[in-house]
Amino acid sequence: MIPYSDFLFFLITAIALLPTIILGFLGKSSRKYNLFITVVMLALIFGLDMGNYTINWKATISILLFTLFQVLLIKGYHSYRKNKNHTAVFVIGVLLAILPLVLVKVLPFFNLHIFGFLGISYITFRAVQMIMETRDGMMKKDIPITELVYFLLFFPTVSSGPIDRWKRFDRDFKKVPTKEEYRELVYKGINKIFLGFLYKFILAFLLYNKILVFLPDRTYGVLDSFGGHLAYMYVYSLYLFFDFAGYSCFAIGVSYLMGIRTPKNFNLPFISRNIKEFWERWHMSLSFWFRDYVYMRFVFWMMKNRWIKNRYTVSYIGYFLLFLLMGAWHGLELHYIVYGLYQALLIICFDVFERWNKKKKFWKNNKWTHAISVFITFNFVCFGFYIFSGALF
Amino acid sequence: MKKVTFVPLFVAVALFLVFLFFPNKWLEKMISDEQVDAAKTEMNPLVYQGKYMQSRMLQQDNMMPILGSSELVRFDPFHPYNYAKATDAPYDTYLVGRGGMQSLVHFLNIVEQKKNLKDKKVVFIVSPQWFVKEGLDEFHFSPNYSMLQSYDLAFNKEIDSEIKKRGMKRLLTFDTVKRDTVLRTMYEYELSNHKKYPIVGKIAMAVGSMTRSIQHKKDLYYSLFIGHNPRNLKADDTLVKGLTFEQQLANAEEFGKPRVNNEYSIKTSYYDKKVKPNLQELKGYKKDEEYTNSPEYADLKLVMDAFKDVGAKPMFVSIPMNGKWYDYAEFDKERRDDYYAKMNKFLRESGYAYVDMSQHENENYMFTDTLHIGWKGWVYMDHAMDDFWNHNR
Repeated sequence: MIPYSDFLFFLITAIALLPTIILGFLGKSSRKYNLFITVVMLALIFGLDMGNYTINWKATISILLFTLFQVLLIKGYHSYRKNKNHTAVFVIGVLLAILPLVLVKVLPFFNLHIFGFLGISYITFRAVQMIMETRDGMMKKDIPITELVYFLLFFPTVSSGPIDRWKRFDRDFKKVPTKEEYRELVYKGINKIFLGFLYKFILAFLLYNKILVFLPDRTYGVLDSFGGHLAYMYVYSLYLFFDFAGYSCFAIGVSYLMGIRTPKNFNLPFISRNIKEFWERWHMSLSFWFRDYVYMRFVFWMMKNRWIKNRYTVSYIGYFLLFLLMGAWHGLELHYIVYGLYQALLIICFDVFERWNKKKKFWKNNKWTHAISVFITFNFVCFGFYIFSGALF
Repeated sequence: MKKVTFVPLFVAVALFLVFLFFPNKWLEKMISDEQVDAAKTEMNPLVYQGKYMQSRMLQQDNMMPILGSSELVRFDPFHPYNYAKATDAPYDTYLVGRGGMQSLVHFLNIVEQKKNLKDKKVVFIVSPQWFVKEGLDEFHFSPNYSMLQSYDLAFNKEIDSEIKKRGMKRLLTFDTVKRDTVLRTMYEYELSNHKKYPIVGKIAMAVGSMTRSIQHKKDLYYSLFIGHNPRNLKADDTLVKGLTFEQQLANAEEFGKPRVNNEYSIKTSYYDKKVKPNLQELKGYKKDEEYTNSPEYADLKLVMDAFKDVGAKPMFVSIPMNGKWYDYAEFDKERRDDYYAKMNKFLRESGYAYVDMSQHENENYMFTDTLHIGWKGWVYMDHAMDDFWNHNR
């Protein structure tokens, strides 16, 4: 069953959450009950094959083994780190954590479809984060296994994020909201869910079914080839936003109802003034993850070892690394890789321009330049999604 | 902290419930006869995919609907609707058809109107272009698919079970149907004689029954907005009223002559815009096509059997290809004749009334573009309809 894809899922979720909400309004803890419904919902999401209503053993066993593997790895590294701190062990730990994901991405190229399930990459992101934070010495306290599994497999966000952070999650998990706090959580949660309905089931649905299906080259002669592709570029970008932002709203809304303030994923990305700002507003939990655990690590590591002296060069290599990885994570197809390169180039070009502009004061800051900046950024971003869509090659 | 209030939520739920339980009878009273009349020629897909509007039109004793596809929207003074009005024909007609509405789409509509079509005469236009090798594809099916009619099919106890199952089996080959879990399950449940998914099947029927009532409600709400935008029908009674068949044909020729600037009998505006700029590429573009081998034949058979089962009296009109244009497209005469022969046999063996227009394929002003009939083509059809109404009672 794919989360948030049909009415049935919402109906089941609503029924499952009813006791949670009642307990919340009474100011009582619903932690145990939430653990219970997470197991039930995970069984529905991963275990039920909607094709013929049988148990999907492949996915069930895959996720059980995968979770066991990650938990052992995290707990193992955590107890190792208490006394020792070898870089090699850390690197091996991270590599092991991403190994299943890499296999899932690479094996199909050899026609091997051994395992794989929805959301493997998002669980991996959370697991890698645990190991990295442990290395940094941020995990002094013990990690309870139940809570760790709950964090990795928290059902509202299990399939496609947003990617929460352990420390933040842990705080919400431990605290029972007061009646007043819970009222506000429900209020915000329901708002989010309904915003999600508007985004995903009205706007994205209409954009897709009424426009996108006819693009780029099925316009019955209304648009020529260039016009068709141009329209496709813009409509696809909007569709992508409303579909994914809608999905994220559901995930956040349901999290709120369960007392977890999952961070937001989108913050009006199309009003960004430049590409850097865009990545602080688009798929935020993913780009922050890549920023903190790929880019920053790389830059620190390079600076510490003084392999490259120029800090801009380091930063630019870091951007390439970040966006190439992000592109490859979407899939190993050529258009995803090119999409990554394109984003890296944009951000580097912007950085060069920004530094140059600081000295020359060519691009002043007023409401006109603001508007023009937003317009230019929007078009570059849309072209990026056009590459991403695979319609170009 | 923002004030937390759930009043808007309850108002929204209350409003939704009012909409949901608003009596159907009251809604029906709000739809005027003028609207129903305008809906006959509004070419509105909501009419084709709904139920109520057509059921109102079929209350008229002298109603003889025309089911076809994109040719019906080509209004001129000789169009059957204009013709019937101008000549005070004893019958009235309404139009169901747009691009991609092939046999299977009409099948759903026919069984939906089962009770209303009993003893009614119906004109069914068959286009050769439907009979491509792949038959009806997803791209043409999905915009014309009616959720209401396909849900109703699962609950239709009045039509013959074998026909119903054949229809369901065919519908299940389309992603649009397969994606709808409830619908797919209901169909598979029925097709397996309730052996497959005995429990889930029953649940799907219960959920489907609710969905169906909502669809009916939606059909009524939509109908409130149908029939407010009458089309320009381009009628000119003087060209047909009180004239003989020969005079009308001559008028159609006179009418077409100034509107055509090429040897293929294609309307000037269409020719200059769509054909002339691509004339080189279009040479021989149909040289590998043939229309004698297509799943569409089985779909047409389904329509024929459905007509028999509901007790309607159809007349099939077999439209020819635009001979001159098809010569240019290198769909040669031999293959065209193969199709005409096959279709003629197919229609003859059905035992229904039919009109074979293939002898007119090379006539000037028979077509208005590369494939749609108009002008003289309509005059031939008008008289076939007159004959059918008068003699074949």
